[in-house]
Amino acid sequence: MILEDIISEFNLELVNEGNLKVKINAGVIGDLLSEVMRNGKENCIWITHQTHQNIIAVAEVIGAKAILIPENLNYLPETLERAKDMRINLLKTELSGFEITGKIYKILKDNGSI
Amino acid sequence: MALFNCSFHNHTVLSPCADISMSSDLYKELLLKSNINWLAITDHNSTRNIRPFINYFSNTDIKIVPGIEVQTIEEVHVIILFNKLDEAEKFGKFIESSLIINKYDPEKFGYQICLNGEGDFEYILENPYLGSSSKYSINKLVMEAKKYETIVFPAHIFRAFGLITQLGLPPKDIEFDAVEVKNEKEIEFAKDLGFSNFIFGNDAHTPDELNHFSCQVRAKNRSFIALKEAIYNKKVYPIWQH
Repeated sequence: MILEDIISEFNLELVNEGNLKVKINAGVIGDLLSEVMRNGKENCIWITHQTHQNIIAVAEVIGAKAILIPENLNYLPETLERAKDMRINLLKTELSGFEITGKIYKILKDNGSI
Repeated sequence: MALFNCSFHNHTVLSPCADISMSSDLYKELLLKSNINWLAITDHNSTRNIRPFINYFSNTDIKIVPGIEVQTIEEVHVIILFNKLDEAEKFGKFIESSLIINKYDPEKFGYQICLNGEGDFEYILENPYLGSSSKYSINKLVMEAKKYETIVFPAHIFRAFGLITQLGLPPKDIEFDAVEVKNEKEIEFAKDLGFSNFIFGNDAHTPDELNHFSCQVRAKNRSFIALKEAIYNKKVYPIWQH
């Protein structure tokens, strides 16, 4: 599924824009970046409460195409700066991590993306 | 130069997760047995028990370094040691007022006990919850800490709440005075990540965790300056526990 379709389907807020035409065919959740480095898959959407700028580096390492923070949390200013430099898609939602993860999982599963 | 027996990361009855017996009385008994003579008090997110500890140990050969273990918004544990007690206390208040969980149930999460200079229980701190995160990021915390004469180091970097566990890699824009690691493997990993200064603590929460010293420091005396020099001159020698 194309990232911009996920964004419009769930009305996600686009905080930093990279390439929105990328295909998403995996997902990972995690706030411990060491765990995400171990378990993250390429072309995934990553749902996390972690807002430190190292999320940008980790997204690069694993090949994540978008980072999504729930609960209307905010990215730290230095994280935004770095995301701009790296052109990483940063998203947010007011939904809980549990709820948005369930919704994204279902739509990716239903349309055969995962 | 003398060789001192040290632990630069220790909790008292103030930390909700520490054993309720970890008072200055028990500390004295345990430290005399284990021959620790230079240690830091580093409770979670508070500095309230440092002055009582320093008073209590003032007539002994045990030197106390004021410190605090802060939990940042990223849930990274960072230890800050201070040269001056009043600055440590000021910083402790600054951190307490930044904690994001105020109310808590001590029956479930543990009592936060403040001592007096005689080592007796003075009062129970009901809020904030000292096991909480601060609202400050690790960058902001380190920046604030460096306004004082401090030694700043992330605690147990490969363990739960450790810098590398939480953040995957060392943050590019933060310079620590040292990092805390727990065994030979970890020190090698840390060197691979670019760290070169090390410090060690028991992270004592219970009496049995004070039965040894985690490092020895070669220094001319037990001043804060001498400790900082020893860190940078690689005169802090780990004593691994297996």
